[in-house]
Parts: sequence; C-alpha cells; structure tokens
Amino acid sequence: MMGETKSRLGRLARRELDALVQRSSLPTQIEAAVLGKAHQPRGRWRLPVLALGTCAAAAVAVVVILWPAPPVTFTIAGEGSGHLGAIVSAPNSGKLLAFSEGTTVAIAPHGRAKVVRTASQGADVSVESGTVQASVAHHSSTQWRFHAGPYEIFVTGTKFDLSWDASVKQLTLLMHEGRVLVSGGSISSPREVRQGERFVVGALKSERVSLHPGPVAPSLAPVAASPTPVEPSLTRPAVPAKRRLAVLHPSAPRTQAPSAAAALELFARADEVRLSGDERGAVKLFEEVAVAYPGDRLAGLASFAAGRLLLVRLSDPRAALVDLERARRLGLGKPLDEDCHARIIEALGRLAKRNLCAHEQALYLATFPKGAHADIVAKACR
Amino acid sequence: MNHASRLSPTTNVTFLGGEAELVAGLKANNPAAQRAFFTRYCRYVERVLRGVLGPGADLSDVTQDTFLAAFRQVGGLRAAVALTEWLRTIAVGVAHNRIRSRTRNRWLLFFAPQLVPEPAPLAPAHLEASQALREVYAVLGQMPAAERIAFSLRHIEDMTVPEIAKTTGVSESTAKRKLRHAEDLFEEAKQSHPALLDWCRTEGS
Repeated sequence: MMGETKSRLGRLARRELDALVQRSSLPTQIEAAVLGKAHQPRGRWRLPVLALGTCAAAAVAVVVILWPAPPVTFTIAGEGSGHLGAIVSAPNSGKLLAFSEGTTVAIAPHGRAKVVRTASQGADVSVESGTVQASVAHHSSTQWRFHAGPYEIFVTGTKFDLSWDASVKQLTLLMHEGRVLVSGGSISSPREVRQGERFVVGALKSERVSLHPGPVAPSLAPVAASPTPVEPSLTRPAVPAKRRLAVLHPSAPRTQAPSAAAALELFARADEVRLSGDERGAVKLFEEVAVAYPGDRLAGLASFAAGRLLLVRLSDPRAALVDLERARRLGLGKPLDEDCHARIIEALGRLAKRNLCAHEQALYLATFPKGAHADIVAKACR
Repeated sequence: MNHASRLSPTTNVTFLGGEAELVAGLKANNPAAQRAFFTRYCRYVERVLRGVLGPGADLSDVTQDTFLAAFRQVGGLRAAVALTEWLRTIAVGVAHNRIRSRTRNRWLLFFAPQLVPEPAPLAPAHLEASQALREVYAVLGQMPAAERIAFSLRHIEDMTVPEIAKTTGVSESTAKRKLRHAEDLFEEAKQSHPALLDWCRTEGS
C-alpha cells in the first residue's frame, strides 16, 4: 500500500469510522458509570493509589534484586576461556572447568564433557563419557543441570562425582555433599540422591539403585547391573520422600506427595510469573514442572512453554532446543506436537545446525504434510 | 434540612461556559463541568480510540478509563486551548496500554486457538471496503503497540509526524522510526491478507 492507495485507504477508514461513531450509542451506555465514578469523593482513591504506590515500590525493589545478571563464564585450566558447545576432553590427565560463580567441574582422565548452556546462576553441562567431579556453589537461585545420556541431574548446590558409561548407558552418581534430583531415561519419577549415597541407573534394559549411606567411598566402584529390570526405589529411612521433595523444591506442597495438583499449582505460578513480565523466572518454574513431574500431563506443556519463551522472547535457541526436545519426548498431543516440531526446526535453523535442521524438516513434512507451520519450516534451514 | 444536601444536585445544572471555564470547573471537581466535558468530548474520544483500536473493538472500558484518567490528571493541564490535544494524548495512552495487555493475554490463546474471538461484524455500505478495513486492523493487530499506534495515527487519522510524536510522548525521530518500522511490517503482513491485496490492486490502480 503505497502513495495514493495508502491515502485512499486512510480516507476509507476515516469515513467508515466516522459513520460507526455517529451510529454508536456508547455515550449513553457509559455516561452514568463515568460520572458516577468521577463524583466519588477523592478520598476513595487514596487507598488504591497508596496500594499501587506500594506495589510499584515493591516491583522496583524486585526488579533491582532480580535484574538478570550476565551469564556465568568459565575457563579451562591451562587453556583459557571455554566456549559453549565445545567438547572438552581429558585424554590423559584431568581438566578443570572453573565457573565465574564459584562452581568447578573436574573432568577425570579419559572423560569428555561440554557446557551446553550458561545462565546467570548456573549452567548445563553434558557429560559425554567418563567421570566428572562437580562442586556446585550454592546460591539463592542456583540453576545447575548435568546431562548424561537420557538423564538429567538437577542441582541446587552440592558436591558429587558423576560417571556416564555410554557403551552400557549407565549413570553412576556418588554424592559427597548436598542433594540432587535425577530424572529422565527410564526413571518414572524424579529421584532424590543425598549426601553419602551412590545412585546407579541404566545398564541396558535393567535398572538398579544401589544405596550406600554413611562415609563416602573414595572412588566410583562399578555396581553390577541386575539381570532383571528393577524399578528404582530409594529406601532411605531418614526423611520421608514427601519432605525431601519439598526441601529440594520449595514450591512443592509440603503436606502431599508430588501430584497432579502440585504440578498444576506450580504451572499456574509459572504462568503468573510469566504474566508479571519475569520471563526468565517463568522459564525456571516451567522447567521445574517438567523436571519434577515428568509423568504429569502438564510436564510436556510446561517444557514447551519454557522452550517457547526461550526461543521467542529470550532469543536463546540453544536452551530452547533442550526444553522443546524434552517437550516432544514427554508428549504434547495435537495441535502442539506440530507446533513443537516446527519450533525445534526454527531453533536448529537459528543455531545453523543445517544437517539436523534438514533432517527434522523432512520429518516434519512427512508427518504433517499440510502443517500449519509449513511455510516457517520451509525457510528455517536456509 | 442539611445545607449541603440542598446544594448537591448540581449534576442537573447545564454548563454554559467555554473551554477555559470547563477546565476550571474540572479542576474544581465540579460535577456539572464533568458532565459537560463528557457530553462534549465523548464522541471525540470514541473516534480517537476507534481509530487506534479498530472498528470491531469494545470501547466501553477504554472510554471510561480515558475519562477517569482525564478527571484525575486535569490538575496538570496548563492551557485550556490544548484541551483536545491533551485528551487525545490520554486516549492514545489508554489504548496503548490496552493493546499491550491484549498482546500479553494472546500468549495464552496460543494454547487454545478456538477461544480467539472473532471481531465484531460491521454493517457497512460497501462490503468490500469494509472487508479491506477489517483486514487493515487484522494486520495492525499483529504489530507491537507503539508501531500500531504510529501507523494508525499517520495513515488513518492523517496526523503529521510531529503531531504523532506529541500525542505519543516520544521524540520526532523515534516517532519516525516507529512509523517506518510499522510501514515495513504492514507491507510484509498484507501479503497474507488476500482481501486487502485485492482492494489495493483495484482501488490503488
């Protein structure tokens, strides 16, 4: 619409809108309401104004406190600054990753790991193979996650050794301090692992948990896999499971087990935080729903919401990809499955991962030949 | 009889003054002045809001909000001659907030597209023109609030860039930048609105 067309359209709009306003009965409809409110004594405004002022002051304080700090940085001992996504291998001797917020991750000889995401209070570290020894500095809003194969270890401040044997798909976790939450893979609900415990899961089709309370073993002795599938069960007598989850996730109800109601409550709070404008806070809470309640019907949706915020609002396709892929794994149902797939492709395109993007693109077009996002998908991998 | 109660029914008094008296009356919180102000300017406010928010928008709340904001802020109005411009600035500000809150809520509709309400139908003389108008506002609905307002003030209300800057409370260069961005967005988005494209082709040639 250029030149004359634009002014013609403007004239048309003015004529139509003028006619609409002339026919409107709005003044008679709202006159009583407007004048009624205007005639209310001014004193009635004082309370709401005072309340608003207090809210505004509180909001300013919250913004100042929660103003997003820059993401943590890290260095590799002897090599200088580390880079996101670059695999750090320790062929003969160990390597130490030192993060700016105080956390250290030591990669044992023959181990491989990479930092896949950094945030203001943490990072995501993917252990490709071998053992890492992590000492996570505890802060008020620590956001550390370790990935090993299909498993995720959600950390709030702790020291532990983590081993991932890719050949037999076995995760071994030895806790020195604090506690972590492990989810993903064949674990049906998140498992808490606490100080002095060793947690082993995986080993092809079987799954086993070995629990050794008491003094920490000096090394990660391998635990033989059970010949038959065993559902992991932590039989710690010290603290009931409900309370343990509440300690790790303050948002979880303290009086009931993780349930649909708790997931819904957390999801609703995440959405409230999002609506308040704190999108990073919302991402954290949505991710918490997905990690803490992976069996819940909201888990996929929560992970999708986090991925969507990261991709669309926070321009972080790398982190978005993690959440969106988890959402796809957890399942969303129609029509969000298609949407999620399209956004995964968009994220891959933005990360310039052309081969993966093309693969997902072909998969999308085969699955949704008349998909609503076909046009975006078609352009995403260029 | 209470003296105050005998003086209270001033709302039935016709307000005869000009704009200077009207502003003085508003500053004194005079009910007759408030009534006269509402009567004189309600259609003007509705027209400004309609121009920004579109023909299908429900204006009941935003019009009320505009007048209540005007009653609250009238103490800061210095020149009575600037009453119309001042009121337009308030109306545009209220519309801006409404667009932003709507944009926030649209996020939720993403999960339930079937809940998106259809715009209210028009009863136009020329169906094709009206359809084009509706398409214009559909395109505007996809823009950020500041761009949408700049575009509608320039091309629908026929305002100049300095007037847009004054009304929206930004510098002229910012207004110009927002307008240029809005025009680019409009050109891009209109490609997916066939009725608008048809109208532009037939009427623009």
